[in-house]
Amino acid sequence: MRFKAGTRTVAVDLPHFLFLTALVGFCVWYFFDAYTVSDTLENLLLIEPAVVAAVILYFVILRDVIRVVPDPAALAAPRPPLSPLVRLRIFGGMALLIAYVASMGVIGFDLATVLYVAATLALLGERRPTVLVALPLIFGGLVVYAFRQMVTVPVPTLLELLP
Amino acid sequence: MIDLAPFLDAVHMLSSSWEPWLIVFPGLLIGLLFHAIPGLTTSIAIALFLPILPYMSFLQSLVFMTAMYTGSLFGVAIPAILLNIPGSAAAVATTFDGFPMAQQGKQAEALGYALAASVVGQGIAYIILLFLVQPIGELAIKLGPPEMFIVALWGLSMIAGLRGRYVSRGLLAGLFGLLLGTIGFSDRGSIRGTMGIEALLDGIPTIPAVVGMFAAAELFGLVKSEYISADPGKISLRRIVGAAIDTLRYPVVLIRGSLLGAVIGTLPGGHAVANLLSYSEARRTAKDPEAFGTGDPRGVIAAEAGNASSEGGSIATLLALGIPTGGATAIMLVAFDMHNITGGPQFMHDHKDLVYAVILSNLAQILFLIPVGLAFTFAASYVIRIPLRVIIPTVLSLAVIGSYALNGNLAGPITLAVFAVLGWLLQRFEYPVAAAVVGLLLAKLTEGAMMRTYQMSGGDPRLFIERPAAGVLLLVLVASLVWPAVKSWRRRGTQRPAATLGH
Repeated sequence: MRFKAGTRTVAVDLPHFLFLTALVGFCVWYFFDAYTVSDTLENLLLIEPAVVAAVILYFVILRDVIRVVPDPAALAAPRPPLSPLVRLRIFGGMALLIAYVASMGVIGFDLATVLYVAATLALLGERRPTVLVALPLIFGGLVVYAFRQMVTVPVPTLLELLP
Repeated sequence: MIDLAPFLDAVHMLSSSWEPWLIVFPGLLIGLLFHAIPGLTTSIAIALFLPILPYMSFLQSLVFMTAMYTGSLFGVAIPAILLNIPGSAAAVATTFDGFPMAQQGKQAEALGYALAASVVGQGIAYIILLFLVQPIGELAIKLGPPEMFIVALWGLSMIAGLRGRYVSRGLLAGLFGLLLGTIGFSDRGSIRGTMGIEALLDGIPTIPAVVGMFAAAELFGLVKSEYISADPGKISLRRIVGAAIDTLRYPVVLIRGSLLGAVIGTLPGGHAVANLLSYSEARRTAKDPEAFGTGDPRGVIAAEAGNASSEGGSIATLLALGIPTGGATAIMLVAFDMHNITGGPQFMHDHKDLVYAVILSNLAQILFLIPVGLAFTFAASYVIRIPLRVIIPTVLSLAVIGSYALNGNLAGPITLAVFAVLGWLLQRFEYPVAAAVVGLLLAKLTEGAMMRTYQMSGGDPRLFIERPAAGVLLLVLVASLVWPAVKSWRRRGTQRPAATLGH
């Protein structure tokens, strides 16, 4: 994001600015949360200096994020851009991972694993129908069976979750 | 020093019957396999096999458990090198150079270096233990919060070495990790930063968070590639063995890492710090520290030597004091109970033959680890030939179910997913993920030790001088921090006259 300030251009790396502010914002919120619980030295012995240092670093890093330049053409891109396909695969991959974690307790670990593996395979470019069907089924079945045998905690499957 | 009569009894115990040896191979394999699956731990492996322990003799059960432990300590290096997934906190530093080596098609070499460093590191630690088990136990009891605080600071000082391209971003990532690591109940009982989420009372689940930040973030970053390495190279046993032999060209890195690991391993939570410290010291004392992090064999050797030798230290504390230093040794203590035996000084006094038998069997296990580890790494190195579109969903799925298995609730998988996104963002904006992980891993240890040190001293720094062990550690810490600066200043000093002469 760029805007003019007199004869100069102010370039703001907006995604980085938002990320940095969220990161340090969390640190500051955490300090106040800890302070509210107990303002004793023992409670804040590590947290307080760490948060103060984080806030100082925020302003140091901000110099890379917000730049005032006379010639906007000379400004290099802060990061290599992501192509639309790579962007789809990264954000799609994250969305599928979150959906997988959210669904495993609802539809069972077996079905959730089969669906997640199949969907991610397809997202990452696998087009062979046999691989898209056989690999998730074999992998999901084997993994859930193996974990059910190995670990002492219950690993719920679709059949167990059905009413 | 060695007490000869019980030592000979131990030799007789181990050589008179095949029974204790029958369970070494299964133990090593179980340990290796459990850590090849991201999210599973030695504690789970040992806990899983606890029910069969009453059917074994006490010696057999100890040999079985330590074999699992031995296997797992090397096993953690395999996913760390091939997939950038540290199977536990003990393998975080292995990823720093191991994964770049795999990306360069040198996965066989990296695994060979890791195996050899693991074998030598454990060997050195157990030989030290054989001669000094009693003094090490006594030393461990003298190391209190002030010493632990210095060790934690030493570990944290590594963040400065993981800064990447921007010092300020590295430091912020480390501080952010440090703060995240203190979420939940403090040692004083204050609840901080949980946002009312009950699952966070015990803090952020470390293993899922580390796996999420490292592995998932890295795997998301690889979606544009077809394979982990563009040039996977030929997979051959000769390359693994060649690298394993080549490890001996770095005796200083190996011995320093092993000694650090053996000593740090005696402390609670020490195994998580041992690999970081060993790596950090190897990097700090190297003539070319900038080579570390780009696929330098010394990084893999240092991390694995420190990690593997910490087993000897933690077993020393368990046997000599009856104090567990981590999850695995805590469960071993349960096995002691199953046989109505209490670990500690009395055990050392009454069953010295058993103590020697455990140490000797561990030295033998290391020899067994060589063929088992070679065969396992040879098979595992084929992972690099599997297309990433298959690796990404299957590995992430294993990691998610593995993180569920840790506590039997969805806190692990949710943590993994959240930290995967966070890790990718950190990486995208060039904040070193490793610095955040080091902060996260050492936070509780640092804060606990810091608080107890403050309570002991009332804020008076003379405590560090009054305690000889703390004083020595403090001197070592200061020297290790100052030495690279002195070295670089001296190098600049010698380069300047040379440059002048050149003109």
